[in-house]
Amino acid sequence: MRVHRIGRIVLALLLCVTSASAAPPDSRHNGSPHPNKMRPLTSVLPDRIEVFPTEVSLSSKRAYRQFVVTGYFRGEARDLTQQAVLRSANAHIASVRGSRVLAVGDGKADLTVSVGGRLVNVPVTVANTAAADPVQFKFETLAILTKQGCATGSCHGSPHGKGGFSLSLFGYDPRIDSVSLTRDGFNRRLNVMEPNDSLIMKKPLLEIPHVGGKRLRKTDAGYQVLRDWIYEGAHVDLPKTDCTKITITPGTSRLLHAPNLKQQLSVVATYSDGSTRDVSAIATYESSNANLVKVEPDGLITGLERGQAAISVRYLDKFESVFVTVVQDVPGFTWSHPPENNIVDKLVDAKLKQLQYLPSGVCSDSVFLRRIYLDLTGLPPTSAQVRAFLQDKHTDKRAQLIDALLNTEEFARFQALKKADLMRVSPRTLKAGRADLFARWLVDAFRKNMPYDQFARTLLTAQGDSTQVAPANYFVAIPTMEERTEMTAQLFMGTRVECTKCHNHPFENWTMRDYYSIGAVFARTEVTKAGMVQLANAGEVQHPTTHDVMTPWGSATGQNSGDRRAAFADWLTKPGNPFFAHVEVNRMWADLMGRGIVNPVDDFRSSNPPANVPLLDTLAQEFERSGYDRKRILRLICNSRTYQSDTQPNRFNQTDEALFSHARIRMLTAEQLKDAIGLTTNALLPPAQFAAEEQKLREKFMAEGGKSETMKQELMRMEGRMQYATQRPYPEPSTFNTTFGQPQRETACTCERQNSPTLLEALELLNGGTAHNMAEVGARHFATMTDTALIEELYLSALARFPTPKEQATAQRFLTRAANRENAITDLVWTVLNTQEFLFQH
Amino acid sequence: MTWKTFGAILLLLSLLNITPAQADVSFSHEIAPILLKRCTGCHGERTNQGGYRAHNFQSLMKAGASGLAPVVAGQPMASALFQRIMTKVEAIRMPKSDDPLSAAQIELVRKWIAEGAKYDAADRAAPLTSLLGPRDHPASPTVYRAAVPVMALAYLPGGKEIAVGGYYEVTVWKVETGALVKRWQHLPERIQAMAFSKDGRTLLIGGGTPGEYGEVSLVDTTTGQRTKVLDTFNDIVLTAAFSPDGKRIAAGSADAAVRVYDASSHKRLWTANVHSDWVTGVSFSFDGQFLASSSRDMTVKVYEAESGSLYTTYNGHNRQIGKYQGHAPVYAVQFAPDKLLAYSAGGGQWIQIWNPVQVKAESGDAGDMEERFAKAGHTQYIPHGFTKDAFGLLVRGNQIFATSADGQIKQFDTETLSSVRTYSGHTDWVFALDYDPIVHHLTTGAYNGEVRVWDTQTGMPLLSFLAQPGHEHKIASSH
Repeated sequence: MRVHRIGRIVLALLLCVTSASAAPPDSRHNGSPHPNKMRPLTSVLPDRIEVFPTEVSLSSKRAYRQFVVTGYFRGEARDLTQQAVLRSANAHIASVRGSRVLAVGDGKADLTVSVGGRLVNVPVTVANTAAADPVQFKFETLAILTKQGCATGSCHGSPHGKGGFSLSLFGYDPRIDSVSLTRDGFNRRLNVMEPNDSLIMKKPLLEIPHVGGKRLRKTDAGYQVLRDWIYEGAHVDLPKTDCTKITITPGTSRLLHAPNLKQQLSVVATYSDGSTRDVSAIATYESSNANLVKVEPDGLITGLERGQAAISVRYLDKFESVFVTVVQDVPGFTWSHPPENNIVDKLVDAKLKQLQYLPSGVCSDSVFLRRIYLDLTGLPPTSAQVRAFLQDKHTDKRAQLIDALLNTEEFARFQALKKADLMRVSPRTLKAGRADLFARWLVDAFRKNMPYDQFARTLLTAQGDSTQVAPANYFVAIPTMEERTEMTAQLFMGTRVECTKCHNHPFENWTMRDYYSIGAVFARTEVTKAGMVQLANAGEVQHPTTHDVMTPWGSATGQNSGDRRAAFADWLTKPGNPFFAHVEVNRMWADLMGRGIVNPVDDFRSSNPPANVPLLDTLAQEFERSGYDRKRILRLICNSRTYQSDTQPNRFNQTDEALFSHARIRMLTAEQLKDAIGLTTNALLPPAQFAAEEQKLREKFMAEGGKSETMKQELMRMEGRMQYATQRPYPEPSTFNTTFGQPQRETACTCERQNSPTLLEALELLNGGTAHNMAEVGARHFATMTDTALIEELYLSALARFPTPKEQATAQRFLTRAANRENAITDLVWTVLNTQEFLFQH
Repeated sequence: MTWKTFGAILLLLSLLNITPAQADVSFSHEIAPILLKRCTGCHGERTNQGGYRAHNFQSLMKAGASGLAPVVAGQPMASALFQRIMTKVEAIRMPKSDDPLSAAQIELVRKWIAEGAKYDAADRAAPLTSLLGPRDHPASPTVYRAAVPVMALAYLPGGKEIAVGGYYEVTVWKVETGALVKRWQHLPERIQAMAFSKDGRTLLIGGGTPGEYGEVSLVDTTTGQRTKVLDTFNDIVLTAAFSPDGKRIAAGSADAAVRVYDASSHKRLWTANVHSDWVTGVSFSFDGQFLASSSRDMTVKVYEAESGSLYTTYNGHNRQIGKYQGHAPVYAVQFAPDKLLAYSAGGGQWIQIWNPVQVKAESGDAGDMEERFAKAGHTQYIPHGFTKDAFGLLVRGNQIFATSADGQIKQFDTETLSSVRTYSGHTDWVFALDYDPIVHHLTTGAYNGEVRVWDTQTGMPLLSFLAQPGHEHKIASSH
């Protein structure tokens, strides 16, 4: 009968419903703290417990405090917030929800925290619960709009908003938001009579179509904040009070050791009127690598995999990061105690040991030889140099070679090339010989190993006729205030500040004020039409929206104390500056190792932490201590076992990308490739012979009275080492170079250089003119030798090693069978040039 | 009693217990609302997760990327849609990452499929929203907890009472005292436009629920009842107006559509979808020949009122170069009451006055484009002097009234184009206004719910009250 059937259906549904509710609680307890879970502790009890905060004062109806409970187990700190049981002595005054205490009624009550066999007492004082506690637009609603993702740059925080609704990016301008949410759009977005019916509730809840998707759930803290804000009248008061800082507990770094992989954060905001507020529930949390470490909307961090990541905490315009290291025991791992050549190895090994990676072994002489030549001079070793090194029996031959190479002319020029890339040295912008002049000065600076602080200061304070005073061209290459700000920040401070031209930096504490304050440093530096770089007596930078006159960065007093650039240079180069030394040692490290300790090298920010903080700090300190001696740091790194390690990974380090447990396979740069092909095929003379040729030509030129214009031009080309791509002052435009990623020198970004292999490059090598023509030239050179000799010579020049017997035999067979010997040699040369071994450092 | 008797009584009782035969589930009335509220957010026309759309019946029945049949007529358990709404496995349950449908809703869907998954409307491709028909609106709360913004107001003929758009209602207030005298309820959630017929017996209202529903309706002013819903739109109706002869009605919506209806037969005469953003104002020319619509897309479009064909587009609020350069949304347009002249205002610094015929002539061709762009043309400009956007515009007799987000109302003379006076007192954005030339009263309404009445001969403020039933005499707070 129908009654029974309905009854059965109802029963079935009831069973479904009850079984569903008996299922484990939803782990996505977004916004509300986890319900108390009494997980059994390990059998080890903590030596001591730390409860934060030690006392609580709740001064409004909705106030709460997030607790963080730490246990110390033989010195190791572990988060016990989840296991701790909080109890309020008086539920009419204060109540407990998970690991938070909430205000209920005025009075004093004790809160007990029991965990690990101990009991800690926290006095709680509650006041003002009778008074109204309306949601504050500036400090709560705006925070939620960021937290739920509404005000991000790809959504309504984009310059033109989305779907006709525009918010300021991460709430940087509350005035814009106060209008968008209320009066703009004919009052479309709010319903003060029935808050749940407001468009800004229905859309993110996906009750009506929303291109942005589901951004709000009824369980989110933000749901209650938005709803209550609207219910209370959607007031958009903007008091003068601002948030001055946020304090994160337990601090800026944390180590999570499996199986204790959770960490609760507490975030407290301090305001300019002296008040504080717990904002743990409404702050925005983000992980720099969600595969390694994730973070919940209520501030609970969970380590997922071995590694390091930064958890960023954002509240209004404040941004802080917590550096999280996740250690998980790797079965079968035991430290191999490899030799440590110097402090670099000690610090690299400490991190590897902590995260349980084993370093690879040391590379062969042949691999080392090619690597060190290419890294320090840009050029591969000649066959003679290879023979000599491989035969050398001295135990310190590698250290000797490093010292020798650091003192070569090629080293100076190759270093200058790197800086010239960033400083936009190009005849396009630096006309009438200025590019050559500036480049020569750069080479000279590296040749005599000018202390880097002096280098920076000379550039930043340069003035004069740019056709005479080489460093003045720093400013000629970057004529506008914006370019100077961005170049200086990127080059010397390793920071990309372009974003802050228009609004506060989305991922750092840089603000618009900072940008224009740096700009103000260069406000009085002008370049006349004739190329004269001089200081004007007046000139200021105004903040584009507030129109305040900006105080130049680094100036202790006001605007008028002499050359403000000098003040800036003082600030920059003073030992202890958080940027200068760190950025430069990181660049040097990246050049040698293929990846910076901070990666990318010009993206220093707290949300992009260094892979090895002690390593970077120590190198930076050493750099400062040595008087900013670049060669000292390069020598230190090159002599380390870390630099000299093999590219072959082992079982315990094959997943490591960032910690330098093994060397990286790196493609030669465009310039290196061009020169390596030239030297291998003898199209290009090795430097020693080249210098001799230059000397001969000079003598001839002088002997003929110094009148020949062609000889003069040729001499100038030779002096500038124009024939070498790795040695010349500015790039020669060529398809080959562009294909292989040579930068155009249009920005200060190292990202201009394309380092990853591309299909175009492969085609260029296989079919392109350069490789083929060079191979033919090489063939003519090799044809004068016997088969055996030329095969050996080819392998030594190209790959810095002797051919194996098998390789010798294969090549020999090929040459013997060939109809046309020279063609066959061309083919052989071309083949070697196309091997991975030639194209990559390995 | 014998067992037989007992059994007979039981039989009788069980017969009485048999529930009467129920009508089949109606797709358009019972299923469509569920789909709209719980499904089309992710499975709409634009956003279609899993390649599955459910915004109309045709799409609903078509498989998405999975290839599984969403609905198999007569077989709920074979229908992927039903399986997914009733499963207990949260990872695959629909609506995704959200509360499940209620048991009653799930049962409705099951029943509808079991009964053959029938479609009870004409057009299988009609959007679900159109199936729902006009909404029945709830009663308004007796006392308003908060003041709602005044987006529309209109004098009742006679000038003694003013109708103000409220929350699901139109409230009527005595102009002399500010007392609440009538409440015409069960109207759209928001009223954005109001106009009385000349005989005062019918009130035309435009409004709706933002983002979902727009309505153009007629209210009988004697009974206060909504008598006719002329049309529904996909988004709120922002503007509505009668033609001067009262024979036609025009309405514009945030869904960018402009529609015209016959005022007596209530038939829709034409629709124009030529704007690319909200339609903010509509106005018929004095002779009923043209209709103009202003829009947030920075243009005013002029149509032949009879056919609806586009006559010309006025781009004066979107000028690239020249003295009157600027790019601003247009919030209001008014044709002059006695000649072919249009007034438009919005963002920017001017009220612009132009003749559509001359605008069309000046549109020219590409050949004289630069020259044309540089010239102001025949348009006249009144620099209004507001510090923020202008929202309200009214042209009556030889007076122009304009309101602004800066709280001011300004009055200009149509002949001299100069300012007559400024009315200051509002502390919030002023959106709504009406003017009664006979009693020389101007009434304005603002975002904070405040209504102010002014004497236009002296400029003196006469009355100010909060259009908030239950709180009329409270001072309006500035938000």
